[in-house]
Amino acid sequence: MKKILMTIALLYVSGALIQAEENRQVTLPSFKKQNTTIIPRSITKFEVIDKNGQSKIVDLKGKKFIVVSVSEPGSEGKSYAIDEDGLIWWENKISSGAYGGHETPNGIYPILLKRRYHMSSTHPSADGINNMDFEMLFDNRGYALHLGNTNALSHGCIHIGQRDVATMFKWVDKKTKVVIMRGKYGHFLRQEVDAYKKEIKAYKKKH
Amino acid sequence: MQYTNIFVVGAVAIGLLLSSCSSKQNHVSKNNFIYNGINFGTDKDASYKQGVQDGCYTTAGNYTKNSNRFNTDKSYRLGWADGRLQCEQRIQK
Repeated sequence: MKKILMTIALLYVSGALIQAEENRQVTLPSFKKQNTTIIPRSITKFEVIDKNGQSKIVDLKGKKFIVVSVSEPGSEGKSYAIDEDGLIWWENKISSGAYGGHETPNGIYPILLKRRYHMSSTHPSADGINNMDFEMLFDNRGYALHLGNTNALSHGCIHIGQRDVATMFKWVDKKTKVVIMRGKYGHFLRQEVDAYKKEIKAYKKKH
Repeated sequence: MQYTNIFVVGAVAIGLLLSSCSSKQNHVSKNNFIYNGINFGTDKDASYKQGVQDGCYTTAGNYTKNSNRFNTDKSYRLGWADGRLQCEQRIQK
């Protein structure tokens, strides 16, 4: 009898502990709200809304560009390369700026310079090993796409992994634009792939 | 004698199993276009083949695409897309 009562008491206590754990409030780190909002309307068209609510459509049709959906809640942590024909030809994982003032700002930027080897002047590495190789600078405040750990948030730059960064570095030139945005873009790639799959299937039936 | 019969029956069974397996494989004729170990189908024209090669090369991280042909030549365009999709699936495997 004593054992049964002990078991019931133990179950009650563990149940209460589980309930308390579930009720515990989890505070997620908050990312800074952006002054500019960028909403993709198609593969090449972006609605840019400034802090006053003024909206304009920027169409990058005919241009090479990279879309970065930052690594924040509600976004993808991915980048996409789009060529002059409006074709999304590459997709890769990235990491962007951390919360607490390091967030990579939304915007549509030009590529300013490319450097195969580079060490950050504001955040040099302690071991003396270059920490910004394959640098593709897109803003004079120091924001760049470069080789980095995609599992760690950055000081504001966009980290790209080894294989993907070499591919991007080869393809990018000074005419290439970089779109930094919050939200999703991957659905355009899925639509593109589905459309091609259908077209290829129909073509193969005839040929 | 009994062992010989068992051996013959076993050999016939194995033979039948093997033949049924091979009949399920896709038939590959000499007209098939095989690139990078992938069968892209029969009787593909030169444009399609070039598109497949360029799309496949792009998937490997070397962007290769003839923009002019991509916009004017359907065979090249679909070959490029086919090469990109199928070679990518191969990399992911």
